[in-house]
Amino acid sequence: MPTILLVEDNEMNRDMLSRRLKRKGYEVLLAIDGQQGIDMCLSVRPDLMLLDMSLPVKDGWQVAREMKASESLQTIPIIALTAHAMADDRQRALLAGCDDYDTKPVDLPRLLGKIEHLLGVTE
Amino acid sequence: MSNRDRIFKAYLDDQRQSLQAPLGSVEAFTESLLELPVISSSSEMKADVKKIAKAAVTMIKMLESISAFSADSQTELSRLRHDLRNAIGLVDGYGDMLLEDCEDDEAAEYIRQIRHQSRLFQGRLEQFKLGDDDKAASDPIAAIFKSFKRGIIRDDQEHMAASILVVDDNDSSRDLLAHQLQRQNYMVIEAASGERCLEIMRSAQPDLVLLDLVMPDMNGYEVLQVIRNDEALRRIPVVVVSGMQDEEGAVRCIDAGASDYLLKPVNATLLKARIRASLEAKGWRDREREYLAELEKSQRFIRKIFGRYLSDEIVQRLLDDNDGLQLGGELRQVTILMADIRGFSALSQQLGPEQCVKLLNNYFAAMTEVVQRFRGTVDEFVGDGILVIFGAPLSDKDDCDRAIACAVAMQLAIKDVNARNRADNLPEIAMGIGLNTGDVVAGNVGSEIRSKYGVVGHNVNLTGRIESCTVGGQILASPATIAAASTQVLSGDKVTVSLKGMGDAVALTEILGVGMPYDLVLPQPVDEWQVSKDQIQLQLTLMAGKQTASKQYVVHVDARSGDRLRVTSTEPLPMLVDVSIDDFDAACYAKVTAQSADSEFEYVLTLTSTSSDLQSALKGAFDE
Repeated sequence: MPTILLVEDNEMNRDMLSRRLKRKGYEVLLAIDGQQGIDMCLSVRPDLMLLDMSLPVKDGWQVAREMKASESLQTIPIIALTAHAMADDRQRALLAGCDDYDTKPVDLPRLLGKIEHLLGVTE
Repeated sequence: MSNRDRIFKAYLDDQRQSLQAPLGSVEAFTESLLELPVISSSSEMKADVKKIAKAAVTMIKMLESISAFSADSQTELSRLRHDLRNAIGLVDGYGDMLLEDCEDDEAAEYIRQIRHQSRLFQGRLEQFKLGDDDKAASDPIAAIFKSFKRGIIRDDQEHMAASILVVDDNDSSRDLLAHQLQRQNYMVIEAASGERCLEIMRSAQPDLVLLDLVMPDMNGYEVLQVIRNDEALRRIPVVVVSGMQDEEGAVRCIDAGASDYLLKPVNATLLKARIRASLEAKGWRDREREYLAELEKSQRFIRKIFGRYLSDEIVQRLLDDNDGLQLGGELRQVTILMADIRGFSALSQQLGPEQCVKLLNNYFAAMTEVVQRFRGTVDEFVGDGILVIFGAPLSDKDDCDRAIACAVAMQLAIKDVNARNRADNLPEIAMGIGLNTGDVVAGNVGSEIRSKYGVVGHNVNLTGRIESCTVGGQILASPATIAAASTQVLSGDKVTVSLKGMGDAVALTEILGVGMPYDLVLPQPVDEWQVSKDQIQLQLTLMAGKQTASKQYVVHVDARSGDRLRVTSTEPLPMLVDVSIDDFDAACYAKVTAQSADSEFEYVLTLTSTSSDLQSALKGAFDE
């Protein structure tokens, strides 16, 4: 099964979303801040990254830019997650290098659709 | 706090409550879930339910910050919305997982209710806006109707399985009833004694009680008595269940407050029907009560908004009248009362700002009280002036009479204001009042952002001009007001004056008192004219701007009575004009208030503002 790296600083959200994804059959890895997210990508190479944009240490925007600037990491698809529903957030996320974007609260079927789409494209 | 701030704050409180309400329901449903064995026996599900509860409680707390928002708290709102979106995602997520895990129908229903409340919350959260882009925040009427609607259009999804308390000391018959009810999907609570029944009724507030009559210690009748004397318990319907086959017993129970009566052994179909009927009746009563509470809340809000400038009675009548809130512009005949403190500008220059406000507050508080007593609408406070309307928003046939009586009562109340001023170490004041009757345009005047109920038109301006003709303690009324009065008016001299915008000269009537049913008379100044010993001469300058251009006159003072001076002029003086008395150290003002009937050039000047210099000059001349 594909492996998803979930980068999320909120413990409850991490617990909830990871369990829901596991139930759908995904392997889920967790990171609690941006730097840890990048480090884990380097060590375990997940199939996809779910990236919360408001993170401590290194925020999601920065993480996305670094990932896409790195030759070895740029192929890992990133879905940005934000609880801000600003009209330009989507644009910003895509500009930062994210492959897709979704808003919180998460609508699981919608998010799964995006995950499957990205994994299908890369496989 | 300004009216607008008050409205905004009320809007925020309203929004906060409407956001907190579904979260409160979520929390309540989690409690119900935790009571279910299917949940409490699974540590994983129990933990997830608790996480939902924790998220709901956290959000309710986060929402408290709304009350401190201002119209430009956009950043704070954006942050709050961000945090709330994160947290409500937990409710949805854990709810979905529970739904997948749980095979119990009752639990599934609770979880679906939680999901429903979460969607309700999310909808409201996205709609919540601050300030000017949302009309509801600036328009109290819209806000009121919004909260009205929430009271009336209830969320039917909120309907839950009813809870029934079964009271019987006999274990097997209690079990039997409980089983029957559970099969019908009711939530059943059991009590084995009358005392326990009352205890549970107070704590759990079930929707219905099935009460056995024959029990040791406290029997069914006694329980009914207690319920009847307790307002909170009285709302819960009680169906009596008894083996006693007598009609008299049934009647006694109904008399004692039971809503229905069933005989043992209980027929299942009959039980079902009776319970449904009782619950339905209670549902309607609860709804009515909620609606009334909502209505009360809205009325309190209206009272708060309008209470400042309408009398209690008018607010009540607006509330009673279905169309009362449509305060659009319309032509109305009203009597306008304008009052202000004579010589206030000079007075305010002598006082510090704090004293000035204190003095105005003493004055406005007393005057507003009088105006409300005569059911006038305080339309505006302008500086030291008060504009009062009689006849809008609601008209009555005695509008004019009440206005005249109100003017007299206001003059009488100045005595109390001055007593308080003396106590507060403030100067005494005198007020002049102008009255006029005629058509005005009344309605909500202003822009969308700031509007108020008010009157505009030629007749309003005219009232101001009449008022400027008065001296302290005086009331002057236009011919239209005198003509419209149906009560007896005690009038003094008529003074003919030429007013800007009135064309020909107008005869203003000085009002000294008003007849029944008001029966108010102003104390008359005693005419004790003291003749001057030395000739004293004053140079007067006509005050520019009000009626004609400035012009100078020289007069001789012949006699004095208090603030009034009888003078002889070398040429005719215009009536009711303000003059400054020149050549003294501080500004001194007077008004030409009367003309002698005997001599063409003899007038009465009433001093409106004096100085110690002028006072000592007069003192010398009269040798007081």
